[in-house]
Amino acid sequence: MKIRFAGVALIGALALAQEPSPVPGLISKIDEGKSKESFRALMALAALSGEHRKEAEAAAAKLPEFYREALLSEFRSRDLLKENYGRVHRVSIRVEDADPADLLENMARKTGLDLSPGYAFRRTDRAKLSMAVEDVSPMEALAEFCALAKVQPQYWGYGPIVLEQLSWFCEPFGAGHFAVLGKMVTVRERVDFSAPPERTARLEFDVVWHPSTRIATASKDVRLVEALTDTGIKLEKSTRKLVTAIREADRWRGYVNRNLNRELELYLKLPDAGPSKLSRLRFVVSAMVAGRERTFNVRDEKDVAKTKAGDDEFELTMSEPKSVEPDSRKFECFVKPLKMKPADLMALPLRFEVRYPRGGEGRTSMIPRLQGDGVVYDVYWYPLGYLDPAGRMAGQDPESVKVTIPLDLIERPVYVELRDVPLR
Amino acid sequence: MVIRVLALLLLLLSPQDPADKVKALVDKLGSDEIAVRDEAARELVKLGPAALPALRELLTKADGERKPRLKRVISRIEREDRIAKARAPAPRVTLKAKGRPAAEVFGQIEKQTGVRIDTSEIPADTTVDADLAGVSVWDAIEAVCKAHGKIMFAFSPNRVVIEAAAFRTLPRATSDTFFVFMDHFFVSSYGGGGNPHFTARPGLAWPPGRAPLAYRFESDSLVDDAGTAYSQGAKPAAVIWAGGPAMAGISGATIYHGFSESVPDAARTIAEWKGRMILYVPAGLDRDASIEKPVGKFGAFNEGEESKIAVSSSRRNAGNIHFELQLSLSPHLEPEAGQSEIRAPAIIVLRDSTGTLHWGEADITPQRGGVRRSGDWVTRPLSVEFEVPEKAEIESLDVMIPVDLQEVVIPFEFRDIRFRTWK
Repeated sequence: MKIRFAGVALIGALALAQEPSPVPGLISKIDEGKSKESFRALMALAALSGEHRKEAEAAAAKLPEFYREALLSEFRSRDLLKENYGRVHRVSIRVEDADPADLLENMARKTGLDLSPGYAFRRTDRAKLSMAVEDVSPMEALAEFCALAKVQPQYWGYGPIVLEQLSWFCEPFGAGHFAVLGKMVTVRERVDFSAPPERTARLEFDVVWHPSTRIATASKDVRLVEALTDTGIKLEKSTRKLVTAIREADRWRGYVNRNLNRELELYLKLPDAGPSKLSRLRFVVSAMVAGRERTFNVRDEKDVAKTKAGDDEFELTMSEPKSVEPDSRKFECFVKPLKMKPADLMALPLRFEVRYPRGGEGRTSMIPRLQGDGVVYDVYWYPLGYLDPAGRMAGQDPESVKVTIPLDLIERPVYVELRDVPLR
Repeated sequence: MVIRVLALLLLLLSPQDPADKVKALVDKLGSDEIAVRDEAARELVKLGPAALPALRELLTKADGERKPRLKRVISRIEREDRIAKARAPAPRVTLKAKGRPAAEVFGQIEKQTGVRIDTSEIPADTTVDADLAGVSVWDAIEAVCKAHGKIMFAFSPNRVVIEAAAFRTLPRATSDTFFVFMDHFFVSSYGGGGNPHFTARPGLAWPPGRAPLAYRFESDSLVDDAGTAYSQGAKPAAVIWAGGPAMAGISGATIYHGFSESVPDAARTIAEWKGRMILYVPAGLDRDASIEKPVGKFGAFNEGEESKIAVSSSRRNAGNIHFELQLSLSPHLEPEAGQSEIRAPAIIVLRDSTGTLHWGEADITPQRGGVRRSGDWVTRPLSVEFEVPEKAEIESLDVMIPVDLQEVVIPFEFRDIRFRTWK
């Protein structure tokens, strides 16, 4: 028996020893001239474990600095976040001359992403598409699809990611759990009488992440690594604060049901004239992952009259919902932190999830304000598609309201590389 | 002719004690002679707001034709008083200080003018100088910041905030009452090869209690040094509500104003920019729907001729009262095209037991929508916050309908604004 076991173990060890390492092959694919292939190889290297990972870490020293940092950062994120890193899911899609709507359906099925065609797909003259991706992440496949169909993902804090034909200025980037898409570039001179005018390019992007990542939010500001023009000039980030003597009440905090995206903004200082294009743009997005979360049902199916919830860290009180617009409802939720300052609580990206008796979730937004020893969140939502007999929005009250307070936010850097970014 | 001479003689021979004079003039409002009545009304209007308490008292006792005539006299005095107040100079400041704490100096300016000034954003040990003699509150704030050099003012909806930022001189329009300035502008081109265009953002602040209902920014001539003349496009004027239905603040958010023509590469400077800011100030306010003792009255409702108001909820904390309301207005008061019309349909005020009106601050903007039209009414939800002294007894919550919008025209002329420094 012992001899038989030893034999099996020996054969297994030999098989492992003989299995060729994927590291040299993947490293060889990393080339500064080929962004897409390089990131695909980087993500494959980052997925390695055991001896192969050690080999990849050692080989990283030979990589160009940006790729080396990206790989090591990905290793660190995996170690730090563990199960919060997100599911590693791979897909392959190969279709030829397919209708874009059919291709989108196929992609939604394979990636597991909740994708929906927008108005762009209603055109009768839409061109057929061919797509071939092999062993890529869902977000990489999404970026590839957006590039092919010239569409942008739109996400409103509820329901599916809708693909729309919106402004689009450079080829999308997709790697691992993230896709980054260019929305708008504005070249401008701003005169605010605080200093001589500065010529800048404002680049707006959307970062979209995979739902399995537990990312609570991301910083709008990005860390610029390199902005290289087609004439070989390196542009700097503009750090000049935009000055104004008009302060508006700016309390709107966006949509909070589930976060799947964030708008990013980058200001580049431009020379007096030109340039027309960036040949390469590299930056790092700072996404924040909730390490620990507290979830409270301030109202639930079993007890719709419930208005309070809490534990040893927070006390929550919810007001009765009321109509504030013909198709919008509002309630107030007072959150009293027992172990932190109210101002610190207000800085956290709380999530309010609202569900209706007949199922479905609403588009939700909130406005937080400090009050006494806590924070009041004015939560607004728009019931979806429920009409009363007169054809008006029924304005149903939620069956359940789940409040999630993300704590111990951990930074997850996202390395992004874009090519051929037009500046005018 | 003989009658008119006699009437004038009678007026000249009237008693000289002010109260008696007012009473005698009010009596003459009941005269059968038109000339006597008209002359008495003119004389009463000339007495101005100082006579209002006595006239209001006499109104309660007036009868017959005298009553509506006296009402008209009171309305006219109130109207002229509102117009005079709207056009009156901003509150003045006289102050001398050398190396005094900024909080103390700005506190003095606040005390003299009623304009709230927040110094919490600058270091507590900041010291400033002031040498101000009868200058407007705006000039005073600007002068103190300028003398220091490293502090700057910013207008928030209900106060002036002093910031730790380098002082900058903002181009200002000529007004002794309002602070109208050019906050910033852009020369922008958007992706896809667009040509650069001007977009300007003016700023606007007013003395407490003198909020305009709306503004219009008009540009007559904007010319660059390359000779390009710019126009504001098909819609030469843009208008929003400055104060909305309640106007407790001191500044209003203005919108960006775009210009049609492309800015050529050769242009470096705005050679001349002339135009005006027109503010719309209510000279007449008619009290319409009104709820007596509204605090704590859930579901209270009242209907006037042109408005209806319902209280959904209210709460009073120290120093402020918050109302959730449903306001319905007659459709003719409502702007048809959202923000492109100059109409502020109504103002919500709280009236206390002394007759003082407290203006509220409402959480509503035209952009936010929420307006429901049904039948004869246009209804919108409103959250209104009033700052009211703790001991004030609230008598009523009133819907005031502006009936007479007066234009206050503030011209501006900016020259030689450099927007490109490169060759």
